[in-house]
Amino acid sequence: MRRETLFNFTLAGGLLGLAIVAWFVDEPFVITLLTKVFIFAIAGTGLNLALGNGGLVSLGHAAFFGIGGYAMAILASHAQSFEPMVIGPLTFDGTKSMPVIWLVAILASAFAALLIGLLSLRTSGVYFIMITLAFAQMIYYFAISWPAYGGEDGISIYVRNNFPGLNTLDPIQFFGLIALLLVIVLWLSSTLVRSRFGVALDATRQNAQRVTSVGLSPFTIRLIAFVISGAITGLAGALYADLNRFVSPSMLSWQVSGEIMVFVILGGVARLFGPLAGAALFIGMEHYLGGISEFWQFWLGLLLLIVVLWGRGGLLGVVAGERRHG
Amino acid sequence: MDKAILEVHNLSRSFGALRACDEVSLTLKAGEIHALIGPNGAGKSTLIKMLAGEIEPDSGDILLDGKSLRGVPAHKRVHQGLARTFQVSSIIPEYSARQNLFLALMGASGSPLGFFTRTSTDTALTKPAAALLDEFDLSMRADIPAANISHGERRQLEVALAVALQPRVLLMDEPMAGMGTDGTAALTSRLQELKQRVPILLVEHDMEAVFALADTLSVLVYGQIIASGTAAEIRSSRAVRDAYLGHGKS
Repeated sequence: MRRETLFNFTLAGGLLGLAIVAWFVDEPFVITLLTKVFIFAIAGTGLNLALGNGGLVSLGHAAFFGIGGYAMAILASHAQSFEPMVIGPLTFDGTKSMPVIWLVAILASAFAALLIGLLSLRTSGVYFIMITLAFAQMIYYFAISWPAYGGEDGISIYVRNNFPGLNTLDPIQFFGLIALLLVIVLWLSSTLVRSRFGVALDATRQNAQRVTSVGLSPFTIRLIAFVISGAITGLAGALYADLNRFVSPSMLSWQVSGEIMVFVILGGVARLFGPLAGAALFIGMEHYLGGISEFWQFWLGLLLLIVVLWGRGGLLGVVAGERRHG
Repeated sequence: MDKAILEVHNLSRSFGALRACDEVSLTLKAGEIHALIGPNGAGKSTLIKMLAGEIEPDSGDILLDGKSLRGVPAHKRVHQGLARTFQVSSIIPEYSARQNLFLALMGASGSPLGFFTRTSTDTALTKPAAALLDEFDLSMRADIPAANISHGERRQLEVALAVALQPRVLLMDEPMAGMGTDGTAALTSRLQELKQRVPILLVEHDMEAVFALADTLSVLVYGQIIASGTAAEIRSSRAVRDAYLGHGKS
């Protein structure tokens, strides 16, 4: 077995094992922490498709994360207040059903990614970074100044949403659900990367001129990747909102875009388990170093510096002992 | 002779005050190699780029099988049958030769975007790719990254990628560039075979290869075609000697 595969199994098994141990010794906080890791891993896996496989350095993925979160909060807030949502002649009661919320979050963030992608994918390099950041900031300020849904204060959802057959307020059951979704997302990601689409996407990152000259449109390929990427990150946003039972514009802030990017870079760009490794390391450091020192981010910065300068394959690159593109 | 497959009518393109291509007209017929020669900066590459759709002409028209390519984007021209090779090998460096061919075959199939089938077990890709690797003597080196194969092998791959597209017309921008004598000779005989299947518009500096291969030659100087004809006619043309052959190698 390749070292990377072995590490992936160890990592996933270790985190699952930790959750089960925490469940037995009744440490719900640890379970919640792990749930957060898995949700961020889903968000990072979404970004990794664009950033790692497509070479599209998006500093605007907080937009999709936040849109997913707001999709959840808007639907659930109408359901909890029994005030139907009115859009023109149509009214909706809102919903507390997770599958419906997930679907809406995915569709809404995919649509946003389509619009943002159509405009920003005409640029590349630094301009692409700046334009994706600009779009995310626009949505951020829109959320702040939108009084109907809490404005700057955000929206609280009192009871976690429902999933058929589960008590989602029980940390281990909610964790199990998130773990299952992470598995599905990882499967989807690995399948996409090996498919015709994945081959075309990675080729576009390496040499767009060649892709054009065999009759494929790099723009279309990148746009599809960006939409799928945004949709996955949007799903993570809905889950994160459900974890906290709270949404505010801070989910849309550029720091969130940066954090998602850090998960990917820390763990390993274009590696399937990179975002999971990165998110686990990040949340672990935030929690344990945060307990020791207020300045834990200094140590995170130092680590990131080391990873970028010497281990350009990220944590997984160091483990696998081989370098992919960086 | 056969009817023209590619017709270029009065194609012009300026960059600022420089007329890189000035009212260029030429035709490419089935089964022939039409070579385009001329000194550096004569506008050969500009012409190829316009034909491939990478830059737009200011005026004039390009007809493929009688249909205008005006406004058709580069990647769609490939579907209409226009394939090109690059002066500097343009391959996917991290992909093996086999994977590079997968990509070309995906483009050729017209339905490039499967999301769930692994390419490595997709017989619609693996079979034709294996056949092409065989044809272009790349089978032994099929599975190492294309960045690590030799220059000559990359040139072979470059041609194989174009052939994988099953084009109606092949545009080749200096395929012999940087090849040794053996490589040039091998590629010359390959193009000789290839022209039976697909007519080639060849831009080339290697005069020996050009005169061995070309059925028709056009000489481009300062963006204008100053002479066009068979190898013998071009060799004896006074204008060509003065403008081009007299100064360079022959």
